[in-house]
Amino acid sequence: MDLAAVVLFVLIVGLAIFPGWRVNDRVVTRWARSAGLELSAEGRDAAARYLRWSKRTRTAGGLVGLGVPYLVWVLSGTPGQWPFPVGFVLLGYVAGVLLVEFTVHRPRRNSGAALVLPRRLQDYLPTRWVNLQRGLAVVSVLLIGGYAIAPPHPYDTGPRFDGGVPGLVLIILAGPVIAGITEGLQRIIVNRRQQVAGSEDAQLDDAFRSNSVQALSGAGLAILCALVGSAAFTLAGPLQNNIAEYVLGLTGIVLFVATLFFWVGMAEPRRLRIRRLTDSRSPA
Amino acid sequence: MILQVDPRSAVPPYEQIRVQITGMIANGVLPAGTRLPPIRQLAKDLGLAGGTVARAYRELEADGSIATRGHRGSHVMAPPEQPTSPRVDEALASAARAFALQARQLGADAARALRLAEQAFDALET
Repeated sequence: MDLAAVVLFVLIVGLAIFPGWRVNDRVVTRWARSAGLELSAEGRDAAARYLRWSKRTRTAGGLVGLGVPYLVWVLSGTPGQWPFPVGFVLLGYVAGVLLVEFTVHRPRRNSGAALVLPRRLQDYLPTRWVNLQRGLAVVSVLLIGGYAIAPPHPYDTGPRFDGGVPGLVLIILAGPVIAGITEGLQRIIVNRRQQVAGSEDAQLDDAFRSNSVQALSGAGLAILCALVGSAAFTLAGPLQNNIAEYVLGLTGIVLFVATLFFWVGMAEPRRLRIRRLTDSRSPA
Repeated sequence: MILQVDPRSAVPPYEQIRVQITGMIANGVLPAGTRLPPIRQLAKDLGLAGGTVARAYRELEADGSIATRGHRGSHVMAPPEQPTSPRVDEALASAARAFALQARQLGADAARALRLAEQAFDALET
């Protein structure tokens, strides 16, 4: 058994027995408080179910993202070190977020009732995070484009991008595509049908949506930070300029830390945005 | 704040939407400037065709209750001076007649029907 298999085994067992899995009353109360909700017994049950499945599907998705590339690597007999697939782990995690959002937690069906309040992305996610998603996409294009046109480093050998020009275009477009897909999924979640029978239903449903939208934003920002961080590190070498090298290197380090911050921090947001029923006024 | 449409009612769904939104505006639940949900979103939530909600919005615009400004959506206008317009009275009378007829067909007396109507009003407040 090699090191990668041991790491996988420890991760799977560790996550299975991790105490953070358990969704008890305290966890539900903390979650409800983060959305400013006072829940009835029925509402607490619905919230506990959502949170329990949310943890399960996200973790399972992440593990699938980790395990499948490992199996492919072992079965294909590719030589060299196991490439730790951060991107696939995040993709699996996103699949888990979507699975729970679209399958688990809607208590009411065909109630014929609706809130007379519009649902907009900024009702569930602070605008600064949406802007950051878009901004990182633009920065990734600039950095990768800059690397493509920078003069070659003396120690550079071989092709700068695998796959030539199509490969370059693919890498340059990666940031905008990731940001676009993230925002698109967030808008789908916000706009999907809301079936309610009362105020509590509506606010609980809003809190679920906000949780999913913020978790998606966390994953999207994490992927974008990893991409831009890698681009910053890669560009630092060919520039051969001490100041630029330090700035880009530092940027890369900050962005790698930010990857973890966004992924972990926004998975369980401290504050969930929901629409307030008592303050319905919004700019026309 | 919650809009309820009964598909079995004799009152057409667009009229149910119109009457309820007019009531919310008159009661101050929806103050002037409040943005209304887009037609497609409200229709999806209520399980109705887009045209049904669009007709309700058109009627509300004709009343002067709401205004629509292109892609900025529909928002509530200041409520009329009078607490109820003749149009609202007329619609309420029509809805009341349909309710009374249905109650009679179901064998309920006026007291029982009115008690249930009050309960329905109470449920809307919560």
